[in-house]
Amino acid sequence: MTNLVELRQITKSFGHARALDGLDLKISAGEVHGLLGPNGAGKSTTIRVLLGMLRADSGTARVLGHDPWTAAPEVRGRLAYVPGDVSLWPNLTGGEVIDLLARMHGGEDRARRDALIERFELDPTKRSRTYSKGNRQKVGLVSALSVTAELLILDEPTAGLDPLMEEVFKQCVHEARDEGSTVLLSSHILSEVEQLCDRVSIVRAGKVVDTGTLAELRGHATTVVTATLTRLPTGLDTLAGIEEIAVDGHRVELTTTRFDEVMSRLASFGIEALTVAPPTLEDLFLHYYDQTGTAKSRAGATA
Amino acid sequence: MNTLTGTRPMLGLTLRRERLHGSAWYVLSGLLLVVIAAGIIATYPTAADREALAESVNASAGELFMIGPVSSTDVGGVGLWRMLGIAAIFVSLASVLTVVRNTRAPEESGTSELLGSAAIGRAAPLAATLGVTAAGSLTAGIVASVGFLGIGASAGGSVLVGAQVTSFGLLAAALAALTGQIVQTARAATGIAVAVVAAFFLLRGAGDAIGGNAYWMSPFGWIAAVRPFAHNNAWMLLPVLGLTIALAAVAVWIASRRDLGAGLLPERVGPAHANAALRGPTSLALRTSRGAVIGWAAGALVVGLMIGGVSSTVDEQIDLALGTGAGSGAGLVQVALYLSPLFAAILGIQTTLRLRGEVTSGRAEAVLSRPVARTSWLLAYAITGALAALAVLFAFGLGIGVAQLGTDPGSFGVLAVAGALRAPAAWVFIALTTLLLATIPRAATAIAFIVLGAFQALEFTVEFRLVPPEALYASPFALVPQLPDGEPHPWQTILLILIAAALAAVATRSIRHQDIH
Repeated sequence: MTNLVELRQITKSFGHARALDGLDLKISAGEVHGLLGPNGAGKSTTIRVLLGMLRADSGTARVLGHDPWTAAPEVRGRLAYVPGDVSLWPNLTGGEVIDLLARMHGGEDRARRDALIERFELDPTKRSRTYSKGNRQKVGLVSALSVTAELLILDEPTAGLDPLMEEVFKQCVHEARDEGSTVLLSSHILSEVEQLCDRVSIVRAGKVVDTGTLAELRGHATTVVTATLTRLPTGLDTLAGIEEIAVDGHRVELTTTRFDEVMSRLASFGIEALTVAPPTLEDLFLHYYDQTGTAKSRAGATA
Repeated sequence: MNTLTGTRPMLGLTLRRERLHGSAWYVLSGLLLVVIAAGIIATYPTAADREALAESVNASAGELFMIGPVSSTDVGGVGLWRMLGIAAIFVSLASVLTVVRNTRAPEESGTSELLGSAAIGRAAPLAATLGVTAAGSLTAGIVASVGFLGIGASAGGSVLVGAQVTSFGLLAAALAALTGQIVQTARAATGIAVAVVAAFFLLRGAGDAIGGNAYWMSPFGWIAAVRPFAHNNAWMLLPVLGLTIALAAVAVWIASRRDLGAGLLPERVGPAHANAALRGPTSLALRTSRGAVIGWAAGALVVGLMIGGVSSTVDEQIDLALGTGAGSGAGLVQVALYLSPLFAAILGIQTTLRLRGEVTSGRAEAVLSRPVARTSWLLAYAITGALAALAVLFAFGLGIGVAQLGTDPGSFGVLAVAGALRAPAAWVFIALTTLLLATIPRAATAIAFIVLGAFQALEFTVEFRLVPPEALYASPFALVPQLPDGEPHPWQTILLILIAAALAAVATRSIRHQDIH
């Protein structure tokens, strides 16, 4: 598979603040790629580098085979973008903005536009200044989705949308992928990423700290094992592969990534009851963002 | 809950927000007035000088229109004569901007909603803002009074000068309070209030040029009619105060009754589809600037009609030192035309600077993530600025020409283009603004207006005879065709166009290296 987006060791500073600090990102053709991270991690800066609005201080960037900073504007005709906070020209109506942006993109598809306006239940005759945040977001989504694009870049696109509209958005992303588009979805909404993305890159402090399919990422995070044993356990805390452990009489709760050793040792004490909870995306997130780097116990959540 | 509940905490908040911005406007305006008064007194140091000045001014319709009559030839009288019109503009602007910044602007941006949950009455923010602008206006008045005492004017007259300055600030604040209640956007509220201030200013000029009781045409005429150092008619401030209170009361009454975010004028729906002409960055820039340009052009047409009308009915000659050295010739029409590119440049610079607003609001992202070259995006605003300046200048010249059709139909053709031909002077400043936007965008607004102000200051130094009149040859305003009576300056005009083109060309190269954020 070819990489539609390839960032290598990108750095970008604003004054003394380092927004990107050696960021690597690869997005293959046809995938929905999630960019996951909290506010200020560098997601939007990454996207602005991809769009050619910011010039990387160092590193190489390739988008659709071109350097986004020097590429001819035509390259941007092959992608579509929705910012996280869509600002519009206050005197123009939503319909006018959608048409204008489609014409700038290089082609209008009236039928597709009207269908999207209907699906998102947008009133295109209202002046932009009277739109709520969610409605402005809809204008941005309709503008981006109504044109044909090989690469769809979405920066926290559902901020302000109600749950029904979020569903419509998810359908649209699936349809875009089925039509062969590649999607980059930046988000801090874990369920959205979980439902939509084939692969995920986790961004922290201007770096991608891990990337892969959700299954692969889960493999890196610890699983919580809770067991009630027939005999009182001994020597468990010296066992390699256990990250956190709490022993309360016959009851043991531990977190681990190495099941073979842990399970055979637990079995030697006789297992009466056992629950194994795989890490959720929240755990992954906490795993990467916890200052100490260890997963938090979720005993309360799984009980 | 009373609609004025919470005015006191709002007063604290408004004072805190305005402690730098607002106080700088008012205090510096007051100081500027004193400096101008001191400047003119230094230029005409003896009583004989001032009497000669008064005689020539009071006989000239042009001077009467632009500045007003000299009613007393003592130090205070001449200082007041030169600065009162400037006071009307600066102190009024300070009040208009401060009021809109603290009433309609936060309402439009949504910050007012934060206060909606607090125990704050609907009219409290407005009442607090009026309190703060009143204090600011009073400060400007005190600065002016103390300054006049300092330059040797009589005590009673100096106090009245301060009262006049304060009256401008109070009246404009009440006016902006009302426009801010009627329309829904801060831009429109400021625009309408400034337009009314401009109308007051021009009507005052017309009233003084006509003479007699015509000063009643404008509230600014009422303020001027106090005539400190001569008649000392303090009671003329009463109608001004009455009008101010009436405007403010209506504003507070509306504020107490309307919904948050609403205006008196309802929001209309618009077209669901864009006009076929709206298709790229230039058409977008033209479309978003359209309202302001039409407003300015209509204003310029009216001013042109007025100046043309006044100068043809009162067939007097103007004797302003302004620009005469550079061959602009004499006459109200000539001086007004000489000054017109300055105002066109202000509109042009403002229009071009919208590009910065596009970036800070995030709208630039929507355009630049499409296949739009940065250079065409940048030039879209430069071209719109240049066209805006041209439109205003054309409207102004046309107004003068139409007004003089009755008395001087033969010169209609020349007058109709005399404004438009001066556009290259404004274009130089627009091109400079474009270059600033492409290189140091954050400082562009400040530097563009400082440079424009520096050339305006050059005019003042010539007027105060600090530098020889030939210095004006360095000013773009003096290098454009000085029609109908002055030099046509063909080569100089071509040179200005080339300078503007060169600045724009450098700007298009520089924008390629700028981060957009």
